[in-house]
Amino acid sequence: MPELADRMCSKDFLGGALLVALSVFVAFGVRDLEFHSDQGIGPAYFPLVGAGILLLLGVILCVGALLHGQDSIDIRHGIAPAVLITISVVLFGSLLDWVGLAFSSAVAVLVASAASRHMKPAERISLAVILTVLTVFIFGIFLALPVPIWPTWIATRS
Amino acid sequence: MTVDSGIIHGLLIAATPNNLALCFLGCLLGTAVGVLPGIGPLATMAMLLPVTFYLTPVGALIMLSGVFYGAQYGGSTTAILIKLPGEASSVVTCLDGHAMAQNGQGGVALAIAALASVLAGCLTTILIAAAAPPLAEVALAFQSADYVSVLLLGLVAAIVLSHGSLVKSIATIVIGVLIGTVGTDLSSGAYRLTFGIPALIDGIDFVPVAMGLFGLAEIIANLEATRGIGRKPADVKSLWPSLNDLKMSLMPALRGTAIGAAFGLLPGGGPTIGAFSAYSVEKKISRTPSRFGRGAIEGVAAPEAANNAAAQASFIPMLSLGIPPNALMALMIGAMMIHGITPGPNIITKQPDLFWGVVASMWIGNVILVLLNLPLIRFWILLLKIPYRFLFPSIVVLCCVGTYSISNTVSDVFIMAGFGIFGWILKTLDFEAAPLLMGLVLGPMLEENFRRALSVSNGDLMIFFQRPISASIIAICAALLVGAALPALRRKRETVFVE
Repeated sequence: MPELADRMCSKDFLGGALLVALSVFVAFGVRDLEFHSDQGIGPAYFPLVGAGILLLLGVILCVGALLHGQDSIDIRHGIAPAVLITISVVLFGSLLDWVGLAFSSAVAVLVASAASRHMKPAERISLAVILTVLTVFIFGIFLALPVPIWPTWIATRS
Repeated sequence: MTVDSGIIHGLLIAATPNNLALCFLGCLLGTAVGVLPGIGPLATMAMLLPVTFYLTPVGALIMLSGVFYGAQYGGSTTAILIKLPGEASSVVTCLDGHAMAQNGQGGVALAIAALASVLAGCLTTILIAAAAPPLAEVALAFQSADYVSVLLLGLVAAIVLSHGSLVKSIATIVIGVLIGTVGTDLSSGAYRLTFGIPALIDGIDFVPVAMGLFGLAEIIANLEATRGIGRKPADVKSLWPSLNDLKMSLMPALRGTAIGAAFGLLPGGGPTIGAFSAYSVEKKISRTPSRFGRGAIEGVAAPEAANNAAAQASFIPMLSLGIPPNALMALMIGAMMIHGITPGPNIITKQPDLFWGVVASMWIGNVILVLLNLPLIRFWILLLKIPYRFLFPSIVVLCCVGTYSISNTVSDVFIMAGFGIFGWILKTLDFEAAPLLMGLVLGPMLEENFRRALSVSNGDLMIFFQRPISASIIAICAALLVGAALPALRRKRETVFVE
């Protein structure tokens, strides 16, 4: 039975489980929509067909994994890079309208660079400064994106 | 006028100082826009549209076209260097192009991409000059049912080009198609899979998904694998392709040109499906398919030729029939209408200046782009030498701002973050991301045409097998799928036999 637990941790089994979960998710999402409408196929047709295919493929993968036992999932290096990079992007998006392009870029760079353990603090800060300057110049000034460069509450004060 | 006199007439028009300058400007802008993630040629052309009011019709079209195929060149550059597809059609170049860069052959990859593109561009220009009207007629024979099979062919091509299991490749494509259904259903107006989130009402755009799946997920994978140091690309052996490299690239580039031109001609086709198909064909007919994905030069030459050929061939239905095969061409038609020109079958006879001028400028544009891009290779390769720990935060920020710049909403940035995680999950579970993008791009068109085909046939599914074009393409799809499945089945039978 520990073998079964092992096989359930395999890439194929987890992949299959993901597919099954996605198909259920999609089917749930379109539960209120029509499959067949008066004009032909309804809005739910394509998603449900797709969900059906995913369900089938997911089951095939899971069953195959349980029968054959494939390689195990490999995240021994931890999930730190994934978490940090994602947080970096999410922070950028959250802060952008609030503190402007300059600070958002700087924060994004600092958080992203934390995903590498091999940078000295001076390197991180100078990289953040350089990239902020470049970003502000290229996107804020040259391409004139309609996004505030500096926090709006500073601008209104002056 | 005959083709020869037409070309000469066109060259005389295209080579005036004004038009040359406009061509150069368009190419330059296009390349810059193609390299920068986020803003694409469509947005750039839209921004330039008011400017074209002050130009002559020929000048306007020349500049806009320059932006269009300039973006193809620029998109390939980031695809090869940092595995970030600047354009949908550069997704395939990411695969072997970036692998080549990792092997120290980045300069070679960039050069081959440029050379294959210019070869394709010149050949397609000749094709347009010689056969635009009859080719346009061929495109007219295609109806909705046929488009469905063409798009299915594109999806099958995406399956064939994947390395891993067939099941996983089909799954990723279906996921891509499902992501494409998110948003407002066109025919019923119903919201699909939006879960009450206003940002999703317009659907999920390609760019945040591509940035997340390819850009962010790649960075995460890289950092994970090397504990934060990042893979160091091998030492650059040479910046220029060797004679052997050129020899190996010639036939793939020619085949890519043919495939790209064919797909560019068909409405619904275009550079993306052309590039994917060209890659799949090369992988299928290669004697050493295992090299693909690891730095096979054919995997760069063929799709690059295809996407350039398709980009230019898509002018044919636009100019001859007035049918825009995609949004970009629709913009061109808009530009022409600003000047009071309506494209149509008579445009070659009624507006020879326009037609031949644009055709000739395509050739000039390709030459300009090669002259622009080849010297830049040295510079790009220097960029690769930056230690990864400085490079990856730059890419992250670039993706962030680039994604924001598409529609000036932060929701795209969050979508990108989400797909970064999803891409990491896919990689960890050994799924491939490229087919997903294909599904996302082709899914909406597939559904639209499927719906139309069924309404024409009153719900009869046999229409796909009754129309000769559709039936033959479906047969090709089936053959390709079986061909892809056979080796896997054979292996399973072998292991059973061994046990």
